[in-house]
Amino acid sequence: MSEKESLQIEFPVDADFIPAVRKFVAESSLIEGFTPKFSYRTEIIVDELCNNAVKYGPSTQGASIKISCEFKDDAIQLTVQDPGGNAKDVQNLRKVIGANENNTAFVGHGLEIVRMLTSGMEVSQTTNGETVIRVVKRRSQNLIDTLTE
Amino acid sequence: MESKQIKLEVKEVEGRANTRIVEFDGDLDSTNVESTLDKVNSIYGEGVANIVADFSKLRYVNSTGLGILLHISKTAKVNKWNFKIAKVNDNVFEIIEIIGANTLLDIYDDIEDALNSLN
Amino acid sequence: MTEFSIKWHESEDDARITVVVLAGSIDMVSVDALTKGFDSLVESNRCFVIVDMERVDFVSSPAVGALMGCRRRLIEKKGNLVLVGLTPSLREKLNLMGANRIFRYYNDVKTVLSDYRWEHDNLAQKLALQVPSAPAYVPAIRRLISSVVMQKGYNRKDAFRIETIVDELANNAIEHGDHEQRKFYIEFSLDREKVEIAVRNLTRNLDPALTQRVKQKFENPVVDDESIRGRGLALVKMLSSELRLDIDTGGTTVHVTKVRED
Repeated sequence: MSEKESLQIEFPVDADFIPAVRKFVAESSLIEGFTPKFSYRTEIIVDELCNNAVKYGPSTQGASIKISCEFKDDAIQLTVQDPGGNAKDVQNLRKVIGANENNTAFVGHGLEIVRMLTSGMEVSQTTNGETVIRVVKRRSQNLIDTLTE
Repeated sequence: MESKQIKLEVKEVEGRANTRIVEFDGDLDSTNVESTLDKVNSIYGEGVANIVADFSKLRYVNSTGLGILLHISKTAKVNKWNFKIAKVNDNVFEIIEIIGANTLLDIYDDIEDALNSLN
Repeated sequence: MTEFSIKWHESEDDARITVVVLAGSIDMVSVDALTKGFDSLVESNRCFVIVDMERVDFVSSPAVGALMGCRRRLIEKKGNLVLVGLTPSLREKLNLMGANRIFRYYNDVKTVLSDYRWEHDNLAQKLALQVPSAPAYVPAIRRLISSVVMQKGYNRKDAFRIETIVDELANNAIEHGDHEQRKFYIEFSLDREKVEIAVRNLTRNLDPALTQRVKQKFENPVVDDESIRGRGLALVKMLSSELRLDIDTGGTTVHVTKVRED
């Protein structure tokens, strides 16, 4: 399809919502024609990004996290935005993302897994102080894929 | 709120009094790692020395879940217990491989293999 | 080993809650400072306490006993004491002393606040979706909402009723939206007692007569052989405590309120 499909989810800064949200995005990727394997990895990515957003997001009442998901022919673009974060958080996030691939001390660093599962990861900050993480996952780009598909 | 995502079923093993098979059914994620850890610790606490985790029904595990599995594995080694994992599905195994935990966890294809390795 | 320290402050996010940040080794000597602090809390009626244990290395078992005592005093005054930030090893030690049977553990302060507001303020939480207008998405949407309500403590029966309502409204919105409609919208709000669902689709240029007919159908859903949807709407009406339709120049929004049944 030439025009891309997209979906958006906004949910409270509350870990209770994460299992349901990650499954919804995974299921949506199946609907849009991606493979079950791709969908599983997407679920992991959404899980880790959301957990990160909930962990570092604000506790103010009514605050929410926004995920948007754009489906293209050969890739998914996921953007997670949370109202928390200042310049220092963004800096720290960028450090994690830029971390050495040989760093084996990243157990528990979900963002490292996201980095390995995606072909691009970008962290930025909006003008109203929201932290935005954007990732692109192509159908067949990580090492495991090229070995097994 | 308690997670409804995972169920752990403990089974005894014939001929091996201090060994249990623990079946993981569902998703192991940030919402239930603690209750899983508590459950596994209470099994070891009863005097069980060996746990074989049956992952055939474990659909999904995230980085927090893997962290807990590694923690359990490390604690078991320190106490000279065994924590073995069997029947991991492809998706879960790939995530384990991606973070390099496959060399740190004791993984077997079948439950029989895991049990035999206890001798 | 970190030096023992204890800091008290009012939660920045909710003045009703006190946060106690502990660090270092908690033994009987340090527990004394803790108990004295609790004395003054109880006196000033500040009975909700979060104990942040992230920087705690060690807790002796008499100290755990003393913490349990503090909690009991707060419970007597309708308050509570919860523990936040326990490392896996500290958790294991505490559990050996039976602490997990007494205390609720949390990973972070945020979740404590969320639970507190849910219980005490009957806080409503909102979920908003913007989804492609395709029937294939409907099962995924209802599973999302069903999971959320069950995670929040609603039972399977209620979750199923809510799922049925969502399914029906979503299918309706997709079917009756404008030809060029590519997306539709769902806003879902839940608290301890009820859920509110609003489904919005794109409907422009509805003439007044049609608008009337649609409104009529909602007020009095008729079950007839030709209308599968009529049956569905009748079902939604039976399952909900309120069903309302808003039509404006941009689109149509269906509002449903469903009270939790048990």
